[in-house]
Amino acid sequence: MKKSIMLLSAAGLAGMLASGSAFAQAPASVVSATWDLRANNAGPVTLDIKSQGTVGNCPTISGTFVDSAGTSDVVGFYCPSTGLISFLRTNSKGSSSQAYTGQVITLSTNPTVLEMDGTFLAVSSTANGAYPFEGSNAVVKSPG
Amino acid sequence: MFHLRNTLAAASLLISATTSAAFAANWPTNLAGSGWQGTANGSALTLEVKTQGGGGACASITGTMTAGGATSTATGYYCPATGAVVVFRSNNNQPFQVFSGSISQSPANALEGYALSGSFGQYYDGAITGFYPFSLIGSAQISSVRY
Repeated sequence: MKKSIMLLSAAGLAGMLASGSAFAQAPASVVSATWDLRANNAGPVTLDIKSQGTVGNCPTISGTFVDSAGTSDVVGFYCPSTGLISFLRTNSKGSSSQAYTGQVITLSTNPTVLEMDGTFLAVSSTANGAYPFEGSNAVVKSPG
Repeated sequence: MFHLRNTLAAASLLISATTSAAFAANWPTNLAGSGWQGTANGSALTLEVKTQGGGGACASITGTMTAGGATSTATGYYCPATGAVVVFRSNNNQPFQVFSGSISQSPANALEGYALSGSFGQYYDGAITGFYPFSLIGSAQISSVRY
């Protein structure tokens, strides 16, 4: 009896580990009303992904990125099968000096909320480097 | 027992020496004037770093990237303290690929034979957008890069 309890406990623990945070689902679409982000712990940053293509494993995405410096266009891609997202932020001169790469997941505690976390690479005259960004959206539009 | 102890001690010393040798050197301090050649997603790619300077702890770099006979502008940064390299590859001032990788350490501060590898993002053309690997080998001088 004691042995059976121990075996059941071990199986339960393994099940808990297997169903933990490492297995959150990636959404089919990242097109959303608003993504509220913080970049290098600064914000608010508003990311609006307006379109998502349908071609390839990682379809193109496009939208706008708004922070204290103004509005920039973004272009990149999102891979629904893995949750990988990456986009370039285009500045007012038509060039890009920041590349964002992260993961998108559906919160297990609230499936209507998506979370996006990752790193952005910044090319700058004073502060080159890799910095963190994170955020979420509140309401998800219907895919497409 | 004595032999076993000696064998274990020798093995431990060997592991220690091997570990030290692999990480004993520093990264190169300056990439200006260097050439790099290899492949990006299996296709030939050449990187020439022409300038390095400014930009903080990770210095700004500029140069060119050539693939398939087409030459693009390369701008980015290099972190001498960590070996991290980032390059935005642009046409007409608009990046379409971003390379992020690391340079190997080497006992000699000459760029001949250094490795630079990592991944790059492809941001246009929906059929191929995504991340891909790249791997380059350094030459001491741009002029020694073979096309």
